Amino acid sequence: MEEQLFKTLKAFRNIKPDQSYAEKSRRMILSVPRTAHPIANIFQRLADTVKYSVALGMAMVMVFLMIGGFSYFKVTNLSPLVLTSFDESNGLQQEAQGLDFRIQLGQAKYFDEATQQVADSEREINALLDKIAL
Amino acid sequence: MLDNEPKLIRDAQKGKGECFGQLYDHYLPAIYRYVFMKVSNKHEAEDLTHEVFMSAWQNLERYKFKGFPFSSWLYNIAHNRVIDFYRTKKSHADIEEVDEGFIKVVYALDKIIDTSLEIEKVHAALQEMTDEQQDVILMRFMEDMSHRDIAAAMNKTEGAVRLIQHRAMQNLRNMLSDKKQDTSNDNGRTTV
Repeated sequence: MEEQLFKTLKAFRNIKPDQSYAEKSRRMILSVPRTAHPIANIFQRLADTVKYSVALGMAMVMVFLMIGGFSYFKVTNLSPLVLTSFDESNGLQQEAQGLDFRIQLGQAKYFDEATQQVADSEREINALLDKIAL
Repeated sequence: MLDNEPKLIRDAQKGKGECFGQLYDHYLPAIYRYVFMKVSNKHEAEDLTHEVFMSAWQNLERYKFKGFPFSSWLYNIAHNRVIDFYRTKKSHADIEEVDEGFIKVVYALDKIIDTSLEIEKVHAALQEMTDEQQDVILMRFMEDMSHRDIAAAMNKTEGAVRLIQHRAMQNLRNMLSDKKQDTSNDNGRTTV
């Protein structure tokens, strides 16, 4: 009986799917594009989110820098608009201009005093000459 | 197992449909047979087998070669799919409700083999066994799978599979001898 039982069980191996069904099912399965695993999908979405967030963040930082955002927070060293004040030649020029102005004022005072002294001296000489002539 | 199976699986995992097609061609008969024996209905067996391979194609990246053949993974999917099928159907197929497609197959097999044990009786006895016992008998004696591969397909240890097989064979012998006795008694009554 044992042998017959195994023989009968082996006979079930002759069960085969219809050829037309097999071909149709194969075609249908392979025509469906493979979708990624849900967990893989989550990672993909996370990666996309991070990618776009970083791009957006960088763009915002650039705009922030361009409109001089750091100077708003008193971070003057990094503000491109304030950096021009660190141009030493410009500072020296302003200093030199101030020096010239002070020099010109001194000269005017000197000339004014000198003219006054010359006028006084001329007046004294004229008075002495008048006395001698008399 | 196919000769270049690991490579075929790797290529199929990369999305190469033709490689999965080769795996499909090789394993379809075995999976179809397994499902057919479990549901005893040609159309349901075709639908379920299609779903098994569709699921395998969609979840192929989950398969990782750990020494077990690809067939164990497919049987595992098929096993779960059959469980889902019966869960939604609420009851097992009764032998009296077996469809015409199945009866045709049984008659065809009866003509092929020359044995005193009728195919239908063995199938009826299998239907009376637990799911686990059915699985072990079908995989072990119908498909010649090793205990190790059956254990992988059923998420059990090899020892557990051997134990299930032992009990299943005892059950099968008892059920078939009972059926034989019933038949001889029936024949006796009709002749009297």
